[in-house]
Amino acid sequence: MNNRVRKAGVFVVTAAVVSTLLFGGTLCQAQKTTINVLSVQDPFWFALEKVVPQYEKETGVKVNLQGLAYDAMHAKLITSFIGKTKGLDVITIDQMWLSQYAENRWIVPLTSYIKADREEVRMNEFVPEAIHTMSEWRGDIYAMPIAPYGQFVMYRTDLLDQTGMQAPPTEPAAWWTWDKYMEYVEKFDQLGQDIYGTVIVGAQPVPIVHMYTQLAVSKGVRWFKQFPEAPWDFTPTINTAKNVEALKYYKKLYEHSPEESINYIWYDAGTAFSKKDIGIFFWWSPYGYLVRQAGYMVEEPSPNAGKYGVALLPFEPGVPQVYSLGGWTLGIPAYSVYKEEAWDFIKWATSGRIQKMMALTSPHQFNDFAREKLFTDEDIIEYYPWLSTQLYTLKLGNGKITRPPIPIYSTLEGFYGLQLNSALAGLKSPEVALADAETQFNLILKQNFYLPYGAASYDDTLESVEKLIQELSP
Amino acid sequence: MAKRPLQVHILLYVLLAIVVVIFMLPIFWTVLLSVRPAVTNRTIPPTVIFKPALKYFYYCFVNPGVSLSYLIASLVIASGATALSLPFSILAAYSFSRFKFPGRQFLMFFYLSLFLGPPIVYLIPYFLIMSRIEWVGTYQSMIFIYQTFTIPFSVLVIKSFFDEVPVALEEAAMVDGANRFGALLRVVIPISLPGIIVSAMFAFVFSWNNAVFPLVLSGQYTTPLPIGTLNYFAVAGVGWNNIAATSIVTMVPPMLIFLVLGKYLVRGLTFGAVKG
Amino acid sequence: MLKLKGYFLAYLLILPSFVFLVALIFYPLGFSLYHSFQNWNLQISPVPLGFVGFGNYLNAFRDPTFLRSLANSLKLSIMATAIEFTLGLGVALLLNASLKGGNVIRAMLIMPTTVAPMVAGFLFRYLYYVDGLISYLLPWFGVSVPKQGILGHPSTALWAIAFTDIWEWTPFFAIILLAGLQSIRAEIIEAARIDGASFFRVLWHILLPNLTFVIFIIIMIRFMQTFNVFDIIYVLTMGGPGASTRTLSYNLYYEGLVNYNVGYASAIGWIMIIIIAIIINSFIIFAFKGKEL
Repeated sequence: MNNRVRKAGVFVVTAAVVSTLLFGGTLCQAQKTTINVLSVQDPFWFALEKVVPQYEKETGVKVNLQGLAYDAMHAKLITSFIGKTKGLDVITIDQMWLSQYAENRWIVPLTSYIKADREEVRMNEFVPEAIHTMSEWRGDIYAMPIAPYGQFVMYRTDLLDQTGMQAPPTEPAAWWTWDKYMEYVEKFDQLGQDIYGTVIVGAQPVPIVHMYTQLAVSKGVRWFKQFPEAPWDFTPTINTAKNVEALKYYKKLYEHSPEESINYIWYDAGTAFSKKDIGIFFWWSPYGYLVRQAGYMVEEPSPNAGKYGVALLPFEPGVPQVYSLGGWTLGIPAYSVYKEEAWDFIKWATSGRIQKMMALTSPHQFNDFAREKLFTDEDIIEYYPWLSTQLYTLKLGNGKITRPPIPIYSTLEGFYGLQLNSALAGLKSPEVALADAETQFNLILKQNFYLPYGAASYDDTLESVEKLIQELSP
Repeated sequence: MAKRPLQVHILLYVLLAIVVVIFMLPIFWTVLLSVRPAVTNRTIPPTVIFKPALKYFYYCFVNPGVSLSYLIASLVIASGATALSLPFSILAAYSFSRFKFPGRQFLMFFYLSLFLGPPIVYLIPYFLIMSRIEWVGTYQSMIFIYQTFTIPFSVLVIKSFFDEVPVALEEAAMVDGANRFGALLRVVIPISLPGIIVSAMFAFVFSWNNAVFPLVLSGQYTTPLPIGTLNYFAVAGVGWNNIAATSIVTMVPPMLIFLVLGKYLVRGLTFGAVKG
Repeated sequence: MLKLKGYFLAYLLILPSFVFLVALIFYPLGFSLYHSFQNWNLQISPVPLGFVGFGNYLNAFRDPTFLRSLANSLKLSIMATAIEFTLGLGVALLLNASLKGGNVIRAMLIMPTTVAPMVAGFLFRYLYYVDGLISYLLPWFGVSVPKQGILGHPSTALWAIAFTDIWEWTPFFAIILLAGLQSIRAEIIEAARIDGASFFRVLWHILLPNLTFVIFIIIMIRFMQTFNVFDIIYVLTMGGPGASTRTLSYNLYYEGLVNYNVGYASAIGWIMIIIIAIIINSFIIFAFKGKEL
């Protein structure tokens, strides 16, 4: 017995020594310049994965492209910022997080980088609304768009024929209201036992907010009294009659959705539309191509490929239409030791040439452009015929009022999502849920000195961004 | 043993079989998961017949071998944490074993109580302190915080082994001119070396299995196996086969060690309180 | 004077480990205590934003999520420890009945305990899927699986977590109790049997009393460990659905390392320390009356 234990002890010590040597070895190997890119696993990541070997060939710099799920990546980012770890060089930033990262100086401003390379970057090619929503904060550019998303409607053409109704429009039409949309949902639902009118995303805390806010903003709901126009007033305005009505509407949509959609996260809704029989739904623009495949980023086509159409969102009479604008940008963390190399990569990945390459690579699962000229490129339209509709939504997109990117956005979003989900689950009435949400908002905003807002406001308008773009263009 | 009626005998065997199935099934199922073709992962009813392949192990540990760096990190951290705890623990264990000084009971309770507190409570401030000195993501940040359980554990277990060494042996050595330290080094430690190794192996297993500290303290190149495996839970269809393959490798060292430790298991699992 | 001098070496030997541990634990705890009286959210500002006295502590008691997590932790620890002990005792008795192959099985049975809690979480997450093995087998036993999946419904999620814990740690109880049972001299049991005592009388009056100390130790250890459980919650449910599987540790993690609300998290942490100290002290006083370690 003692011998056995002794032998085991020797084994452990040897293993320890060997592993330390191995570790030293791998450390030495990592001497060739490698930049670490941490990204979410949205479609652009898969397209990027396919073209990255090209980058290594062109520049000799090795790229370690790591993709993680949304929550995991978000947690890892924040931890590495607060922990001041050096391992990240390029990161992907969701539209709503930009201000937090910028104000905490977790990412570096890119304005000077762009000025130095203006010929290469060509800022004037970008859709100004995308830059306004995703890249700019307080007059500086902090991140470059790699995949902006709009929102539009998708519907099943074969099921539509069965109902005999008119196809939803790809141009703004006076008859295409939210009430009409509900009519369509109900008609689809009546088609059969296994046919659902629509599908929604209900999971808390985050996914439900992303879908719900499009509906809410289109119906005239705003988060705060005044933002981003100066002077900023963060008095919450989410407990209004309009929002109660919107939440009731969303609940009604849920009644025509599959029961488990209350736990659906982003892609679950897309999968449902591509595999089941769902009449009509609205969601982020990437789903325009995602629903063609049988699974997320899989080569095999879905059973419903070729049987669906894309249309614009309905509007609320008397309310100016607003489209949600979201998506991802690339930024450079403050603690990176490879900032120059990171900037080179960002320029390359967001360039027109590479974005086109990403769109044309099989299985053709990327068309989230920020440069306007790509939307009218014949080669690309061949694979994604609805590009003009998508460009239309982008040009009327305003992420800054749909999901206001203030530094404590994530905390507020968590509460909002929890309450919305409770209302959907029937645990609370919509009135109570929104009242609770607003109470929580008030508490957080007060605790963090947003009410009243002490710091200087910045008059953040589309015009000011267009001016900025001009200054940075060649 | 009194004679047992046949029905009872059969019943006992049936119960035993049920127990074995319940406790082995999840592990067995995971082994299957690590070698089954991906299309059979989520079928209803579950697929039991398939052609097994080792390609997921190859993918995880050879090419591109992402899990290999996790494996190395686990080895470095667990070995480092164990090694660091030994000198401290041996000294303190000797003191607890040989001296009945005032405060001894209290101090032993103190060491015992360190396992019973939630690590998260001191992890959060520790993380913030580490971030200030830019040690987040380094091996040493994890090896140090692991001492909060390796040292108390080793102290208690090694003490219980020291208790079994007769004091007379030490006194004999001291009569021959050695002082306390000499006695410790030349008499007590060599005799209880198996016990010290046992304690070290337990400490290694606990360090190897720890996941909460590396969750926030590990960096790009210092991520150990349990946390590294989390990276396989991607949106694009969770890579379950890879998770299973990596999990199997994560499970093997502790299993082997516990198998070897056999009769010392009870002592180790109860932190030295019960000799078994 | 001489007495203290004799003990000087004793204290000296303890000093290195004691100082090390105090530095590793008490310094962070002190840091945490200090900041628990401040308003500090790292997502908003790199420095604290002012003192709020006991505000954070009061907020904790007003926070339904915190109270829910306290309830969940208690529920989980009591449920899991009770079941693990009972099942463990049953398995120990079974293994003690000198059946053929008992030793091999004893070696196999240690496997669940050797698995890292987080890895056990991975194993069971796969099994708990709507199309996973457990969801497939449960209907055979008359248990219906909710449509959202076992982990997706508040009523079943906590049980699922408990089951994973039970699976992993029942062997712990079994092995230790078995060792305890085997240490009781066979003659005593034989004598009782000859006197006509039934199985349960032997159990209650002879076996258990002799193992009291051991039983207290392992129950205390396991109760506290389950009370503090974090790994399997993180992998299986992330505290959801809603807050139905949020335990104290997970809640603390969420507030401190996801929301980075450091001030509030520090207060919750200290409340936890006090609660745990009360529980441990009760255990120790109860179990160690007059006993030496």
